[in-house]
Amino acid sequence: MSKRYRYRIANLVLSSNIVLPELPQANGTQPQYSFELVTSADFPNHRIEWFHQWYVPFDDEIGEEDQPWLQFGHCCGGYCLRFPAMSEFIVSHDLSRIQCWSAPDTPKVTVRHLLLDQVIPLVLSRTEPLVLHASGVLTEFGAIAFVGRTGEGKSTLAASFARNGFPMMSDDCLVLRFDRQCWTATATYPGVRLWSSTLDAVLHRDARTRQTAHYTRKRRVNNSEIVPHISSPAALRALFLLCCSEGEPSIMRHRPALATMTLIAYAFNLDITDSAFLRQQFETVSDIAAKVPVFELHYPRDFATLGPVRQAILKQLKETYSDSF
Amino acid sequence: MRIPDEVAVRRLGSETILLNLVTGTYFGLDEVGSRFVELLETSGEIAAVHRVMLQEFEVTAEVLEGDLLRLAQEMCAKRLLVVETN
Repeated sequence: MSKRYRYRIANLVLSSNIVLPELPQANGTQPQYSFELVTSADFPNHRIEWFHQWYVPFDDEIGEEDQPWLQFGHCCGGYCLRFPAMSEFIVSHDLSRIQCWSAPDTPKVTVRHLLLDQVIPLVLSRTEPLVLHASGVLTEFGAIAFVGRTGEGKSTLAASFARNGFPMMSDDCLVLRFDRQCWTATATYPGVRLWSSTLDAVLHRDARTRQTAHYTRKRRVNNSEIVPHISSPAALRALFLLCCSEGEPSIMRHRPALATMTLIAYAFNLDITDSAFLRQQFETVSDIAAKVPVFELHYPRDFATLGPVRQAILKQLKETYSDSF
Repeated sequence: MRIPDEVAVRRLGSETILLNLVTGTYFGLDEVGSRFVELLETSGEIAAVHRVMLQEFEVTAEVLEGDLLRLAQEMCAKRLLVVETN
């Protein structure tokens, strides 16, 4: 029997047959999820019914245009998530067990990145009220989330806040739960993944970093002295939809209806063929949009403006919650 | 006319969002459109909806009829509304 390790992710416990150095350890707690990297030369021969695929916008780091980045399939009552030419993850029907078969030339660091940053959020999307593709930081008012597509600056903005007294909750994935009459945000795990230009501009030049995955030059920073982090849940006070634009930073509040239609695009969803789940997710996002202010933040992609952007966000929060705090 | 079962409807303030769960299409309605859907869900007949809304909104009968028919056609095209035949 191989050794098992236990880790915390999104305030849940994951047991694994490989070391996951990105995650904090969890001792003496029964795991809700298990992960197994299968050491086998052959990929499994399951019958898979493919139903969806993700394509990444052209990115010279990931690969060719028009090639699927991730394929979704129904398999053995559960799901198959295939990253072509890299790894295949099989999720059990009760969503508690994840197994991975990996191509021989796929480094373990890449397998871990795919597990933590793609597969786990998708699995959690079926078991948690909402899992959002967002970064988050903790302010004096509570948690705020930055929502946007890849490359819009979610991680950079969150890291910038963390370096200025507002601990980071997440750089890419927030789990939203309803607790004690309000929506709360919980990070999946500590750390941030940044391009080297952002590392230089926002963090120390000599900050110790680790490889994120073999196909990307983004670096992972786990040091809480450099990027302070908080792992406990916090009340969600605002969501900011990031939009790159020229000129001064500007913030505009969305009506709940428009906020719902915008936010739903950033919710992880493992199975788009499940209409009942989609209806439930729609209701959840509508509820969040009705209870939590959603703003559109327009700002220029320039490191020099990060300070004014932070100030604009904090000013907006003060104006929104001036009577409450 | 009715909203089909595969369409989820959610009222948010004075607006309404409809989501076709099969196609994944979203559709937002303003205050007038929201009232149209609300009345249609109870009466099912566009003529009855027209009569009620004419009392509630400052608009001529012809303009309202045109607006409601255009909205109904757009919603039918997006499979957010179906015409029931008896």
